[in-house]
Amino acid sequence: MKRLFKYTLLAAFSLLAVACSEDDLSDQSVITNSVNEPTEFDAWLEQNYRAPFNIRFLYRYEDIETDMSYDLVPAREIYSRIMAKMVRFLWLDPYTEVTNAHFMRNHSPRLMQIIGSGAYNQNNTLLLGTAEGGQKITLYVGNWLERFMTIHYNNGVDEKEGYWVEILDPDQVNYYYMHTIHHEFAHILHQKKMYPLDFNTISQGDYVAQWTSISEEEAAQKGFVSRYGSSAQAEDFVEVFSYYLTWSPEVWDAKVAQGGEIGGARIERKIAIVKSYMKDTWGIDMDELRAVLARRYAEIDRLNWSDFKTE
Amino acid sequence: MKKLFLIPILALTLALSGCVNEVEEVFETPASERLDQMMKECQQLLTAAEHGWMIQYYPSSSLAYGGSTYAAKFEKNGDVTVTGDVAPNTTGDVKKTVTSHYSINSSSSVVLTFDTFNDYIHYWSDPDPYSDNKFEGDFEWAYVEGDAKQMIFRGIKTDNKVVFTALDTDIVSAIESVVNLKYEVSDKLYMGYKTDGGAELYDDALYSVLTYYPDGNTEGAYQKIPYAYTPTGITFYDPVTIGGVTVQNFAWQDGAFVATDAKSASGAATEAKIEGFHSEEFIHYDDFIGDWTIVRNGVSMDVTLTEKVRYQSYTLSKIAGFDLEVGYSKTDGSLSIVFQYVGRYKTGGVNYYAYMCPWDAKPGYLTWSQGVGFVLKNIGEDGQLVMEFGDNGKWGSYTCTSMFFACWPTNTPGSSGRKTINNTMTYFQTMTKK
Repeated sequence: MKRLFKYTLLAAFSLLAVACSEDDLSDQSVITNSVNEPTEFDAWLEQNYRAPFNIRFLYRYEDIETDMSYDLVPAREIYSRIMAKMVRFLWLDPYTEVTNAHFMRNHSPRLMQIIGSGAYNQNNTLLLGTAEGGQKITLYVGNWLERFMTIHYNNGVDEKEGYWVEILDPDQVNYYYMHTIHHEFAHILHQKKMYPLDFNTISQGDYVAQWTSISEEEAAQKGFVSRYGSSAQAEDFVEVFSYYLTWSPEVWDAKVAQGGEIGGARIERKIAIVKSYMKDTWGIDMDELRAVLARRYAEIDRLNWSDFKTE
Repeated sequence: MKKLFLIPILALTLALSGCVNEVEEVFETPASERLDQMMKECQQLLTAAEHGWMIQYYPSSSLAYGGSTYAAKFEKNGDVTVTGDVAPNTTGDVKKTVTSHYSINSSSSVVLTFDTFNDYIHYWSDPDPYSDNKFEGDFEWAYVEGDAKQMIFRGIKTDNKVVFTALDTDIVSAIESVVNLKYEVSDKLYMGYKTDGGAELYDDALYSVLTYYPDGNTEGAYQKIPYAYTPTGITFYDPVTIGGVTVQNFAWQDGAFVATDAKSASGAATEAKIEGFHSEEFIHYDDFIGDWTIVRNGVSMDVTLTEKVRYQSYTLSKIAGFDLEVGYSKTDGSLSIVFQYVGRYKTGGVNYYAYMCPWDAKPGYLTWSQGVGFVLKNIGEDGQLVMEFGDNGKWGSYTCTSMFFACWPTNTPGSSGRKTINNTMTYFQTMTKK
C-alpha cells in the first residue's frame, strides 16, 4: 500500500511538472495602445484640466462613457473648446478662488463629458446633465451653443487664425450649461457628505413625480425655485444651490417674491440650510462665491477663446 | 507482479499530462494583440487611400431611408474631411467640406467612430432637429475587413453594411458627380423603372428606395430595394434577382441604369438594364412654366406660372389681385388648385386674412375645407397645352364650379366673421399655354 501511495504521488508530481512547464507569461502587454493622435487642444486640456484638477475632459464621443439608452451625437469640437474655456473660468477657478487649489482637485468629478445633442426622454422632457457617483458629470446640448453665441473668425472664414466669441444670450448659456454644472456638482458634494435632513421637511408632501405637470409659478408658491426642484428632495437642494449662484440677486429676489408668503419663506429657509451646510461642511461662503461668480460673468468677454497654446 | 502494477499508473500519468499538452491555442496571438493589429490595419488602410474613400451608408436597420453617399479623406492625425450627397439638406454646398475627428478603438471589435460633430456624417443620427433619432442612423461602425480598394464596416446600432471604395478623384469632384447625377435622374420625373422582362420598379419620392413587384401587380407582394448613388450610377444594398438575373451595380446611360455585374441563374455574365418610364399622361414640370391665357368668367386674360417648390408647385399670378399656388402631379400630368391662404387683405382699416374658397354655384355653397378644389387636365392636342378645370372630388356631395376670395379677421377660417371680397367671383373654364 505504501508503495502505491508513493507511485501515485510520483504520478501526480510528474503531472504538475508537465502542466507548469507550458505556462510561460507572455512578454506582450494585453493593454492595447490607442492609435488616436492627441491634438493641441488635448495638450491644453492636459495642462488645464488633467494636471491641476485630475479631470478628464472628454469631448470626443466614447461609446462606453455615454448612456446607451439615448440616441446622441458628439459635440462640435469648437463648442467643446468654448465650453472648456468657459467651465474653467466660471466653475473651476471660482471655487479655487474662495477655497484653495486642493478643493476642486479633491471634489471635482474625475470625468467631465460634453455631448452635442440633447438626450430626449419618452415623456418629451430633455435631459441637460447627469452626475454619477461623484465621479462623472455629463453635459448635453453642447451643439446648442450655436443658438446662443456668434463666433467671429479673425480671417472671416474659419478658426485657423483664431476667433472670438460674442455671447448673445447669456441667460440661456447660464441656464443650459453653468446652471447644469453647478447643479450636478452640488449632487457630487451631497453624495459625499449629506446635507442636514431638516431640508427635506420644508416641502415635505409637495414633491411630485410628474414635475412637468405644474407651472414655474405654482412651484414657487410651494417653495421651489424651479419646477424640476419639486421632483425630489435632492433635486430641490441642488436647484436652490445652483440658482442662488447663477441668478443675479434681483432674479433670485423676484423668485422669492413670486413664492408669496408661504413659498417665499420656504425658499428662504432652504437657502439658509444650503448656506450653513456649505460653510460648515465645505468651508465655502456662498455669498462670497456668488460675488466672485458675478465678477467673473462680467469679465468673460476678456477671455482669449482661441488660444490653446501650452508651455 | 508488483512491478506490473506500475504500468497503469504510468499510463495514467501519460494520459493525463497528454491532455494538458493538447490544449491548443486557436489563434497564435492573444485577443488584445489581434484587436491591436486590426486597429492599426484599419487606420493604415483608411489613411493610405491617396484621394480618400467613397462611403455608401444606410441609416436605420429597416433600410427605409435608402442609402447616402459620402466621400471622406482620413488623416493620420485623427482629422477626417467629409462631403456628401446630404449637402443640399445641410450646408447647402457640396464644395464645402467639413473637417472633424475620427477615432479607432477596440471594445468587442474594432470600431471607427466619428467622435466630434460633422454636419454630413451625423445628419442621419442627430436627435436635435426632431427630438428623436428620426432616421435611426449611427456613426460608430465596426471594421469587418478591407484592402487598399475596399473596406467593409457594419453600423453598431443598425448592423447595416457600410462599404468604403477607394476614390480615384478628389472627394469634392466625386460628390459633385453624385449630386449632379441625382439631379439629372430626378429631373426625368420617372414613375419608376422597367426591366428588359417588363418588371416594374417604383421609385420612392423622398429616399433612394425602389419597390419591386415580382408579380407585376402593385397590390401583390413586393420587395424593397434600397440603393445608393455612385459618381456614375447606383448600387443596390444587396444583389437582387429580377427575372432570373442577379444585379447590384449600375451605370447611368441615356435614361437607363445599365447593370455592370449582371449574372444569369447559371452564374454567367449577362446584360441587363432598368429603364425609366412615365405614365401615358405625363407632362414634365418645366413644360407648364411660362405665359398662359386663362378664360375667366368668359373673358380671356393673361397669367403666368412660375416655379414655387421645384417638381411640386407653381405660383399662378394673378387672379383678382391675388397669387395662387398650383400643385403639380407627375403621375398623371395634372395641375391642382385647392382652398388656400393667399395673404393679408386690408379694408376698412382692418388687416384681414384672405383665402381662396371653392364655390358650388347650384346650391350657392362655400367651403374652407383643406384639399377641396379643382383639378386641371390637359385636353389640348399636338403638344398644345390646354388645361380644363374640373372638380377634384374632395368635397363630398358638392362640386367646385367656381371660386372667390373671402377673408377673416383671424387666420382660422370659420362660419363667423367672414367677409367676401367684392368682384372676385371666378368661373374658370380653360387655361391655354402661349
